[in-house]
Amino acid sequence: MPIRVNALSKHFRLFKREAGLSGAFRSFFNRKYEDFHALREISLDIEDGEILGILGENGAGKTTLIKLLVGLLHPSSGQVDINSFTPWNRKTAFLKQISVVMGQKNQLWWDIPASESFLLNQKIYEIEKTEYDRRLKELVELLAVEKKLNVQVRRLSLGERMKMEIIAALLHNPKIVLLDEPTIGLDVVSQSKIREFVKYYNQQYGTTFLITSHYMHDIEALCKRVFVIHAGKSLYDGNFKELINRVNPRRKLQFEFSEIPNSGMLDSLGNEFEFELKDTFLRAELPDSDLTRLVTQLFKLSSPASITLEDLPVEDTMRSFFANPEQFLQ
Amino acid sequence: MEDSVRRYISLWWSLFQNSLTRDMEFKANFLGGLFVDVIFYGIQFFFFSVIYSYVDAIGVFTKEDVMIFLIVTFLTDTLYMFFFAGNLFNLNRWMVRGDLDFFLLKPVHSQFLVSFRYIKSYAVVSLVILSILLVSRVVIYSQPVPLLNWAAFIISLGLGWIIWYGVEFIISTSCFWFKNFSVSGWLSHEILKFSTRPDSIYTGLFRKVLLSAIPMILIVSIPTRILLYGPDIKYLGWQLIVALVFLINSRIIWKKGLLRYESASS
Repeated sequence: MPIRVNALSKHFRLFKREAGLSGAFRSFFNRKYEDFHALREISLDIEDGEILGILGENGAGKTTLIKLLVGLLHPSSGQVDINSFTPWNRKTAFLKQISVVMGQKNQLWWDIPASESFLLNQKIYEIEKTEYDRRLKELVELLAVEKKLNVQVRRLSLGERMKMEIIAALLHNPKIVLLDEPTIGLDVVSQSKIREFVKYYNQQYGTTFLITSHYMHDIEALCKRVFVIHAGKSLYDGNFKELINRVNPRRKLQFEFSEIPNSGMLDSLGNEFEFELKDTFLRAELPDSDLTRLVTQLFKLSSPASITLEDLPVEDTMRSFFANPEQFLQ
Repeated sequence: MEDSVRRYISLWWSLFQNSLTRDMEFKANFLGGLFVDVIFYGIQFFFFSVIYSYVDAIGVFTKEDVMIFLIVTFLTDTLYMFFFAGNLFNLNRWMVRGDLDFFLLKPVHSQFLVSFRYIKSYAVVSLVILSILLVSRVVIYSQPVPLLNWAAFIISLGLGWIIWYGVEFIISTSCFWFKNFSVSGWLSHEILKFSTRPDSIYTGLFRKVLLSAIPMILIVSIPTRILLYGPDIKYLGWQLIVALVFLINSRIIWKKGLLRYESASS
């Protein structure tokens, strides 16, 4: 089910008021509104089986985009075509092929075991009994929650609850799954399990995933391609690694000399490269091309006791990107 | 069409089973629901017993008529509680908190799901008790009540139930326009009280309003009249027209409301 988004915009009418009781009184009798442009002219094509990361700061428009793609919201203008369906017409055949998991909302009933909600979903999505049993067994095993199926949802940990939400979302074998902050609040082990699961499921079934997350490790692990939204506008659509390189092409080098080098030996290098020398360790953060030259010259001076090269933390890179995104994309 | 009806009946049954499972998770809550109903009905009976200790009749309704009227009122109320109270009453909250998203994402008629998602299963017990009470009261009624009256009564009660659903649904969906209208449930509840008094007390313009714009008389009084005094084609026809008007309007307003749905932020 390819997804075609063309010049999609969504405006909300928000009412504004000043803080305090007097502001509340004034706005009660004389309400002032302003238009909030949540999305402006977004165009996007997503192919079958892709895992697309949707990135942006809080309030950038990521969730609005997801809600438009599943038909929860009607756009102010623009079109979306998902396999010849217009999402906001909410046709049954369309709704049977999509699914949404929202990290901060539950579709499972709090007071009863998840298995009861799964049974209800079987009826709602008209899943054949044998197919339902097979899929439930597979998903439960993959996510390792066999023993939790008959425990009330309110008694589950956050990670277990999220796994159950994912099972509920996948039971009907949707072609497109939208994950909105699926790992929010989870510990690192649970985050990693959910990432592994999504990766496996995508490879196994060719399901298209659209993921929003503030955890860059989710995006790094799952998405080759990202779509970046800033203040409702499309800012970048392409390879995630290329974006990272564009924002911060530097890498970290740590070169350990076998003995403390004499300062004269490194004087000429100091004029050309920026680095820090402490005891036997030389540390530098440089673009790839400079690093290659530096390492070549260091090898000429001395053979190393050890050498390590690291990418800069992707979270830091994206933080500096969102601080001033236009600067990196000119 | 037939398949669709069968599917929705089967779906409703699944929703009922799911609701019953949930209600039975908490024994005290389940039994408490029954107890609250008994207190409520008891107070109503007591209230009218006191009134009839001073007067012989209110309009055409004698004391024994009013006792039957009260049982029909409770039956209607219980039917309403059973089917809709857990749903339409909460529509505003679902909309404000964004829970409505999950209703709209399901491949089911969205109006059906917001109307029937949660069935107050414990009301079944009240329904059975009230039905037995009604039959026993009618059996000892001073005039014989033929089967035709019963048949017309069931149709009239069903139409009254649809009318009430339409009124409540339209009030509830106003939250799409007002963004937050948390009083909608209570507003409906207060309006419903007009239906819990014999229609003989309403006269003039007010009576006309209660027969049309806010058709509360059609919910309990007319079915009771039909049961006790025989089918009246004029009343039944009017009930049918009003039920259709409110049902169609509820559908139109729901569709228009969804266009305005903004879904709460994540």
